[in-house]
Amino acid sequence: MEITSSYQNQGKVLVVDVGPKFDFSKVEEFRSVYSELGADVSHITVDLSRTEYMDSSALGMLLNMQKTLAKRELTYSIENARPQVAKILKISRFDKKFEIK
Amino acid sequence: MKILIVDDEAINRTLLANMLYNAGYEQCVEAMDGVEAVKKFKNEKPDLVLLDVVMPGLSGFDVAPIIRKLAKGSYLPILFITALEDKESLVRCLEVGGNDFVIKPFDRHILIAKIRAHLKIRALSERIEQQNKALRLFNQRVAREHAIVEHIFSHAIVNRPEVVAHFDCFLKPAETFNGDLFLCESSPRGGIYFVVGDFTGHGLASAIGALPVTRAFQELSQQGVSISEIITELNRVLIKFLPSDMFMAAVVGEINAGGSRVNLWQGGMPAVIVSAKTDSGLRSIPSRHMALGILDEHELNTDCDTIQLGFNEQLVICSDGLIESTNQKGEMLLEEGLVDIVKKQIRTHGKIESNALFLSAKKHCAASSFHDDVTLVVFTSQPIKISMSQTPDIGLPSVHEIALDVEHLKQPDILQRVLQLAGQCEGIQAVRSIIYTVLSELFNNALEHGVLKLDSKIKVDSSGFHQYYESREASLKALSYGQINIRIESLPLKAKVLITVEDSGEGFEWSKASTLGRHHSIHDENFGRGLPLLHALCERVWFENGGSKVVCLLDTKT
Repeated sequence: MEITSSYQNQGKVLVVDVGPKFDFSKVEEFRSVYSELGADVSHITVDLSRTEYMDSSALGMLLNMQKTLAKRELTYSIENARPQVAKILKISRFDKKFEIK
Repeated sequence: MKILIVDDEAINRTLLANMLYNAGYEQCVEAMDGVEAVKKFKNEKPDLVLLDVVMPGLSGFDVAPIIRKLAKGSYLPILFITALEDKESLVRCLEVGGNDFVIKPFDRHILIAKIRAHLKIRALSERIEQQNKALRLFNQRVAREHAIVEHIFSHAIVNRPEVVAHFDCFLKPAETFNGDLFLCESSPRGGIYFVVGDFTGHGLASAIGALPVTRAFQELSQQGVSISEIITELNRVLIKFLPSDMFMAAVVGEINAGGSRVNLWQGGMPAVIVSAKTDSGLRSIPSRHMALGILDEHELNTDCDTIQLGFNEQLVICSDGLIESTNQKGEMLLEEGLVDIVKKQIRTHGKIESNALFLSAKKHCAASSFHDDVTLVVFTSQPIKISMSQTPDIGLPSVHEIALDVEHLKQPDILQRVLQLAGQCEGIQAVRSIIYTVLSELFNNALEHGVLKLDSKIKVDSSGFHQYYESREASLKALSYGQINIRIESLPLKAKVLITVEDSGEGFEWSKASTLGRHHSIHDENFGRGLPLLHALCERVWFENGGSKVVCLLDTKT
């Protein structure tokens, strides 16, 4: 498993570390991370520090996570993206839906 | 044991030989004068010589020094047997090279006891000689092995001169091999990564850890990863390679291209000092973490300090070899002592210089030398000037053509393999991730829409999104015909990359899609994001063959 996730802050924050490649091949793995989300979670952090590249299906996966979890009042952030990956997030205007750190 | 008996009187020789025989010394050689004694000594190599003093021709006093000179290696006992009783003669026996004397007429028991004692010394001396020989051989072997390892180290642990030129460093190993480590490498963003490390102990055993660390550091630097990733990876490498009682204290940092900001991870090293024009402005960054190679990954904390450096401000990093130097009273210099030296240097010279800093620290320990490796690294805030490209200045142009048929398309790792191939092109370092994204985009489009003829519109809601990817999987499994041709042309001299992807599908109305795509609102839809993304990332994107072939031109300069 390249995607790893952990709960922080007494289970209030779910941190998802996506791994080196964030693309179509991660669809199932990424979904499984939030499919059984702990009840206390109020924030999901997607950590891209290890991510070398992402493509539009990855963008789709991120949006789809928000849609799937729309009934829960959650906040989201994308953190530690490297410059070239950050460029893609910027081009796609993901800052409107995610807090980008 | 062989004994040489030298006497001009045959009766004396026979007497002695018999006596020795009865005492168990059966191998006796006789010589009747000095000349014969020397000759027999050379040929027979006896273990002990009994020497008469008064002989015609060469006397015993003449023979002893000659034999002494000939005897190499172990202790050779020469015992004089003499009728001379005067003090002077007896002293002379010893002066000319004899080890002992017996006065005629002698007592049998005393002579045999003396011979035994001297032969015992000879046996000991022979053993020492053998051990010395073994030790010499061992030393030679160690020296040779060290030379080999040194050769490997000197080639494996090399900082590029144009990078290291940004630092003022002073490195002094306590032995041939350094348990301290200083590495620096340019980052793809135009800055510099560095590591100042100190392994447990010193000498070869601790230097050995430097090899895997150097390798990992150089690879990670090229990838341009964050400090926290470097920390995680170095920690992993150290845990994997080193025994559990060995670890590496380290300061790991990334300097930005402007040379004005440093991201610093500090684990187990003496406080890093940031200079200032005034004493009160001096900052110090103490160790915040445990050394690398101790904690498991989930326990490791990769938090960094961010340090802003004003113009000409300096960052001083040292290993504990420096601050743990002791003076005659056994007092260590410590961090406070170093801070005082730094302040003094700034007051007198306006800046810190590593060599001068070392010499001041050395004054502190006037009597004793440094017991541990000493490393001092000073960085003075300045814009980083390193040419970005790490490949040869003139990158090789290349074309990769990949023709994928159904069997290839069904391989789950097919895209990864294509990307890997593309990543090997020269001249693309600065935009490698972008190229990966573009290729991945083009490939998935060609596969999903061209070959598999899926409709993105199913992705309109959340369940559709997954339905889409499920039907992709099912269609791919059932696929019996399909082809995707990929061509990647890298032109480093023009700083361009041309990527062409053609599929066996029917194409699409690209003119409509591309105009639509460009102005499409992309932030709220689950589909239609790919094309605008391509347009934004590439210099130009165009379609041929009715939309079944797409060409992207990328600029490799950032």
